[in-house]
Amino acid sequence: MTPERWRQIEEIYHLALAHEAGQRSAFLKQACDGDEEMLREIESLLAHQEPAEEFLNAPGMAVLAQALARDRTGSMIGRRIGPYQIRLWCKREGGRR
Amino acid sequence: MAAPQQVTELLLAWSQGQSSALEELMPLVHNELQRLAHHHMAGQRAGHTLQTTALVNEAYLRLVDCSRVRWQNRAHFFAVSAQLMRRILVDFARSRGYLKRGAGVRPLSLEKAPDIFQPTDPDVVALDDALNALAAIDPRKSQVIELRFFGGLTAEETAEVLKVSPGTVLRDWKLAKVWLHRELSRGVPHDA
Repeated sequence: MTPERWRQIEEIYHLALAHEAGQRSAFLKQACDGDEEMLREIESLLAHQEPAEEFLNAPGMAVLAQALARDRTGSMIGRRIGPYQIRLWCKREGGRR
Repeated sequence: MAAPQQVTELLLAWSQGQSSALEELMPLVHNELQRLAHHHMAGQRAGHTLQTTALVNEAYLRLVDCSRVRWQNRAHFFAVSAQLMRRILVDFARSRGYLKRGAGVRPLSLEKAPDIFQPTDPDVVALDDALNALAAIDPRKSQVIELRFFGGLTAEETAEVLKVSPGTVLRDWKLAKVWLHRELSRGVPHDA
Protein backbone atom coordinates (compact mmCIF):
# COMPACT_ATOMS: atom_id res chain seq x y z
CA MET A 1 0.00 0.00 0.00
CA THR A 2 1.26 3.47 -0.79
CA PRO A 3 1.23 6.27 1.79
CA GLU A 4 -1.14 8.20 -0.49
CA ARG A 5 -3.68 5.40 -0.57
CA TRP A 6 -3.38 4.95 3.18
CA ARG A 7 -4.15 8.66 3.64
CA GLN A 8 -7.34 8.25 1.60
CA ILE A 9 -8.31 5.21 3.66
CA GLU A 10 -7.66 7.10 6.88
CA GLU A 11 -9.80 10.00 5.78
CA ILE A 12 -12.76 7.82 4.84
CA TYR A 13 -12.30 5.76 8.02
CA HIS A 14 -12.67 8.86 10.19
CA LEU A 15 -15.65 10.08 8.21
CA ALA A 16 -17.26 6.65 8.57
CA LEU A 17 -16.75 6.75 12.34
CA ALA A 18 -18.54 10.09 12.45
CA HIS A 19 -21.62 8.43 10.96
CA GLU A 20 -24.16 6.51 13.01
CA ALA A 21 -23.40 2.78 12.96
CA GLY A 22 -26.56 2.14 10.96
CA GLN A 23 -25.55 4.55 8.21
CA ARG A 24 -21.91 3.57 7.93
CA SER A 25 -22.33 0.84 5.40
CA ALA A 26 -24.22 3.05 2.96
CA PHE A 27 -21.74 5.88 3.47
CA LEU A 28 -18.77 3.58 2.85
CA LYS A 29 -20.20 2.22 -0.38
CA GLN A 30 -20.68 5.71 -1.66
CA ALA A 31 -17.31 7.02 -0.44
CA CYS A 32 -15.31 4.11 -1.87
CA ASP A 33 -17.09 4.51 -5.19
CA GLY A 34 -16.70 0.97 -6.45
CA ASP A 35 -13.19 0.44 -5.06
CA GLU A 36 -13.88 -2.94 -3.44
CA GLU A 37 -10.39 -3.33 -2.03
CA MET A 38 -10.61 -0.01 -0.21
CA LEU A 39 -14.06 -0.87 1.07
CA ARG A 40 -12.84 -4.15 2.54
CA GLU A 41 -9.80 -2.47 4.07
CA ILE A 42 -11.90 0.14 5.87
CA GLU A 43 -14.50 -2.40 6.99
CA SER A 44 -11.80 -4.59 8.49
CA LEU A 45 -10.32 -1.62 10.36
CA LEU A 46 -13.75 -0.67 11.69
CA ALA A 47 -14.21 -4.24 12.92
CA HIS A 48 -11.06 -3.89 15.04
CA GLN A 49 -11.96 -0.52 16.49
CA GLU A 50 -13.62 -1.84 19.62
CA PRO A 51 -11.25 -4.72 20.46
CA ALA A 52 -8.29 -2.34 20.02
CA GLU A 53 -9.47 0.08 22.70
CA GLU A 54 -7.62 -1.57 25.59
CA PHE A 55 -4.77 -2.75 23.38
CA LEU A 56 -1.30 -1.34 24.26
CA ASN A 57 -2.68 0.81 27.06
CA ALA A 58 -0.24 -0.63 29.61
CA PRO A 59 3.31 0.59 28.90
CA GLY A 60 5.65 -2.02 27.42
CA MET A 61 7.97 -1.83 30.37
CA ALA A 62 5.11 -2.65 32.75
CA VAL A 63 4.07 -5.63 30.64
CA LEU A 64 7.57 -7.07 30.81
CA ALA A 65 8.07 -6.30 34.49
CA GLN A 66 4.83 -8.10 35.31
CA ALA A 67 5.80 -11.04 33.15
CA LEU A 68 9.10 -11.22 35.01
CA ALA A 69 7.29 -11.14 38.33
CA ARG A 70 5.25 -14.13 37.20
CA ASP A 71 8.51 -15.89 36.50
CA ARG A 72 9.21 -15.81 40.21
CA THR A 73 11.85 -18.49 40.41
CA GLY A 74 14.18 -16.66 38.09
CA SER A 75 15.39 -20.12 37.16
CA MET A 76 16.75 -21.31 33.86
CA ILE A 77 13.54 -23.12 33.00
CA GLY A 78 12.06 -21.79 29.82
CA ARG A 79 15.22 -19.99 28.81
CA ARG A 80 16.62 -20.44 25.38
CA ILE A 81 20.23 -21.19 24.73
CA GLY A 82 20.97 -21.10 21.05
CA PRO A 83 18.37 -23.29 19.36
CA TYR A 84 17.56 -25.16 22.61
CA GLN A 85 15.13 -24.42 25.34
CA ILE A 86 15.42 -25.68 28.90
CA ARG A 87 12.29 -27.61 29.85
CA LEU A 88 10.96 -28.95 33.09
CA TRP A 89 9.34 -32.37 33.03
CA CYS A 90 6.98 -33.53 35.74
CA LYS A 91 6.99 -37.29 35.79
CA ARG A 92 3.86 -38.90 37.10
CA GLU A 93 4.12 -42.25 38.77
CA GLY A 94 3.92 -44.90 36.13
CA GLY A 95 4.03 -42.10 33.67
CA ARG A 96 5.24 -41.91 30.15
CA ARG A 97 8.36 -43.70 29.23
CA MET B 1 21.88 0.43 40.38
CA ALA B 2 23.59 2.67 37.90
CA ALA B 3 23.57 6.38 38.48
CA PRO B 4 21.04 8.14 36.25
CA GLN B 5 23.87 10.25 34.94
CA GLN B 6 25.71 7.19 33.65
CA VAL B 7 22.67 5.95 31.76
CA THR B 8 21.98 9.38 30.36
CA GLU B 9 25.55 9.75 29.10
CA LEU B 10 25.37 6.33 27.45
CA LEU B 11 22.04 7.20 25.89
CA LEU B 12 23.53 10.37 24.50
CA ALA B 13 26.53 8.49 23.11
CA TRP B 14 24.24 5.95 21.49
CA SER B 15 22.12 8.65 19.89
CA GLN B 16 25.29 10.14 18.43
CA GLY B 17 26.09 6.92 16.65
CA GLN B 18 28.32 5.16 19.18
CA SER B 19 26.78 1.71 18.89
CA SER B 20 28.90 0.15 21.64
CA ALA B 21 26.99 2.28 24.15
CA LEU B 22 23.97 0.05 23.61
CA GLU B 23 25.81 -2.99 24.97
CA GLU B 24 26.57 -1.10 28.14
CA LEU B 25 23.02 0.17 28.41
CA MET B 26 21.33 -3.21 28.05
CA PRO B 27 22.31 -4.71 31.43
CA LEU B 28 21.50 -1.45 33.22
CA VAL B 29 17.97 -1.44 31.86
CA HIS B 30 17.59 -5.16 32.49
CA ASN B 31 18.48 -4.58 36.14
CA GLU B 32 15.84 -1.91 36.35
CA LEU B 33 13.29 -4.29 34.86
CA GLN B 34 14.20 -6.90 37.46
CA ARG B 35 13.75 -4.32 40.18
CA LEU B 36 10.33 -3.38 38.82
CA ALA B 37 9.36 -7.03 38.71
CA HIS B 38 10.48 -7.46 42.29
CA HIS B 39 8.35 -4.52 43.42
CA HIS B 40 5.44 -5.96 41.56
CA MET B 41 5.80 -9.31 43.36
CA ALA B 42 6.16 -7.63 46.73
CA GLY B 43 2.98 -5.70 46.01
CA GLN B 44 1.13 -8.88 45.14
CA ARG B 45 2.23 -10.51 48.34
CA ALA B 46 1.12 -7.52 50.35
CA GLY B 47 -2.28 -7.93 48.76
CA HIS B 48 -2.55 -4.60 47.02
CA THR B 49 -2.33 -3.65 43.42
CA LEU B 50 0.58 -1.46 42.55
CA GLN B 51 0.13 1.58 40.44
CA THR B 52 1.92 0.22 37.44
CA THR B 53 2.14 3.52 35.62
CA ALA B 54 3.62 5.23 38.65
CA LEU B 55 6.17 2.45 38.98
CA VAL B 56 7.17 2.65 35.36
CA ASN B 57 7.48 6.41 35.54
CA GLU B 58 9.69 6.01 38.55
CA ALA B 59 11.81 3.49 36.65
CA TYR B 60 12.38 5.94 33.83
CA LEU B 61 13.32 8.65 36.27
CA ARG B 62 15.81 6.35 37.91
CA LEU B 63 17.24 5.36 34.58
CA VAL B 64 17.66 8.72 33.01
CA ASP B 65 18.22 12.16 34.36
CA CYS B 66 16.75 14.68 31.95
CA SER B 67 18.21 17.69 33.69
CA ARG B 68 21.90 16.86 33.74
CA VAL B 69 22.90 16.31 30.19
CA ARG B 70 22.78 18.95 27.52
CA TRP B 71 20.49 17.33 25.04
CA GLN B 72 19.56 19.14 21.86
CA ASN B 73 16.21 19.42 23.62
CA ARG B 74 13.73 17.43 25.67
CA ALA B 75 11.98 16.12 22.57
CA HIS B 76 15.17 14.61 21.21
CA PHE B 77 15.83 12.99 24.53
CA PHE B 78 12.35 11.44 24.68
CA ALA B 79 12.65 10.15 21.13
CA VAL B 80 16.00 8.47 21.76
CA SER B 81 14.82 6.95 25.05
CA ALA B 82 11.74 5.46 23.40
CA GLN B 83 13.88 3.95 20.64
CA LEU B 84 16.17 2.42 23.22
CA MET B 85 13.29 1.01 25.25
CA ARG B 86 11.78 -0.52 22.14
CA ARG B 87 15.03 -2.18 21.22
CA ILE B 88 15.62 -3.51 24.71
CA LEU B 89 12.09 -4.70 25.39
CA VAL B 90 11.85 -6.51 22.06
CA ASP B 91 15.23 -8.20 22.54
CA PHE B 92 14.22 -9.10 26.04
CA ALA B 93 10.88 -10.61 25.02
CA ARG B 94 12.64 -12.55 22.30
CA SER B 95 15.21 -13.93 24.75
CA ARG B 96 12.51 -15.15 27.11
CA GLY B 97 11.01 -17.52 24.65
CA TYR B 98 8.24 -15.23 23.58
CA LEU B 99 8.50 -15.96 19.91
CA LYS B 100 5.76 -15.46 17.46
CA ARG B 101 4.46 -18.57 15.84
CA GLY B 102 6.35 -19.55 12.77
CA ALA B 103 9.57 -17.90 13.95
CA GLY B 104 12.77 -19.79 13.35
CA VAL B 105 13.25 -21.58 16.65
CA ARG B 106 11.56 -24.91 17.12
CA PRO B 107 10.75 -26.09 20.65
CA LEU B 108 12.21 -29.45 21.59
CA SER B 109 8.84 -31.07 22.05
CA LEU B 110 5.41 -30.62 20.53
CA GLU B 111 4.11 -28.98 23.65
CA LYS B 112 3.71 -25.26 23.76
CA ALA B 113 6.89 -23.64 25.01
CA PRO B 114 6.34 -22.27 28.49
CA ASP B 115 6.53 -18.53 28.45
CA ILE B 116 6.15 -15.93 31.08
CA PHE B 117 3.55 -13.87 29.27
CA GLN B 118 -0.20 -14.06 29.54
CA PRO B 119 -2.47 -14.50 26.55
CA THR B 120 -3.72 -10.95 27.01
CA ASP B 121 -0.22 -9.47 26.86
CA PRO B 122 0.68 -7.96 23.52
CA ASP B 123 3.18 -9.95 21.47
CA VAL B 124 6.01 -7.42 21.64
CA VAL B 125 8.08 -9.19 19.00
CA ALA B 126 5.25 -9.29 16.46
CA LEU B 127 4.38 -5.73 17.39
CA ASP B 128 7.89 -4.63 16.51
CA ASP B 129 7.55 -6.14 13.02
CA ALA B 130 4.11 -4.63 12.52
CA LEU B 131 5.41 -1.22 13.59
CA ASN B 132 8.07 -1.40 10.89
CA ALA B 133 5.36 -2.16 8.34
CA LEU B 134 3.27 0.74 9.63
CA ALA B 135 6.27 3.08 9.39
CA ALA B 136 6.43 2.38 5.65
CA ILE B 137 2.97 3.87 5.05
CA ASP B 138 2.60 6.23 8.01
CA PRO B 139 5.83 6.98 9.92
CA ARG B 140 4.18 9.36 12.37
CA LYS B 141 1.68 6.77 13.61
CA SER B 142 4.48 4.29 14.08
CA GLN B 143 6.36 6.88 16.12
CA VAL B 144 3.32 7.66 18.23
CA ILE B 145 3.15 3.99 19.26
CA GLU B 146 6.89 3.85 19.85
CA LEU B 147 6.85 6.94 22.06
CA ARG B 148 3.77 6.02 24.04
CA PHE B 149 3.93 2.23 24.37
CA PHE B 150 7.69 1.71 24.44
CA GLY B 151 8.74 5.14 25.69
CA GLY B 152 5.97 5.48 28.27
CA LEU B 153 5.22 9.06 27.25
CA THR B 154 1.93 10.87 27.77
CA ALA B 155 -0.05 12.20 24.81
CA GLU B 156 1.20 15.70 25.64
CA GLU B 157 4.86 14.66 25.71
CA THR B 158 4.37 12.74 22.48
CA ALA B 159 2.87 15.84 20.90
CA GLU B 160 5.91 17.83 22.00
CA VAL B 161 8.28 15.35 20.36
CA LEU B 162 6.34 15.18 17.10
CA LYS B 163 5.46 18.88 17.01
CA VAL B 164 1.76 18.22 16.50
CA SER B 165 -1.24 18.87 18.73
CA PRO B 166 -2.21 16.41 21.48
CA GLY B 167 -5.48 15.94 19.58
CA THR B 168 -3.57 14.70 16.54
CA VAL B 169 -1.57 12.35 18.75
CA LEU B 170 -4.75 10.85 20.19
CA ARG B 171 -6.27 10.39 16.75
CA ASP B 172 -3.07 8.76 15.48
CA TRP B 173 -2.82 6.62 18.60
CA LYS B 174 -6.34 5.24 18.19
CA LEU B 175 -6.08 4.41 14.52
CA ALA B 176 -2.55 3.01 14.87
CA LYS B 177 -3.79 0.69 17.63
CA VAL B 178 -6.67 -0.45 15.41
CA TRP B 179 -4.31 -1.11 12.52
CA LEU B 180 -1.78 -2.96 14.69
CA HIS B 181 -4.48 -4.95 16.44
CA ARG B 182 -5.69 -6.16 13.08
CA GLU B 183 -2.17 -7.02 11.91
CA LEU B 184 -1.42 -8.98 15.07
CA SER B 185 -4.77 -10.78 14.88
CA ARG B 186 -3.77 -12.28 11.58
CA GLY B 187 -1.66 -14.66 13.68
CA VAL B 188 0.58 -17.03 11.83
CA PRO B 189 2.72 -15.20 9.30
CA HIS B 190 2.04 -15.96 5.64
CA ASP B 191 5.31 -17.79 5.16
CA ALA B 192 4.71 -20.19 8.10
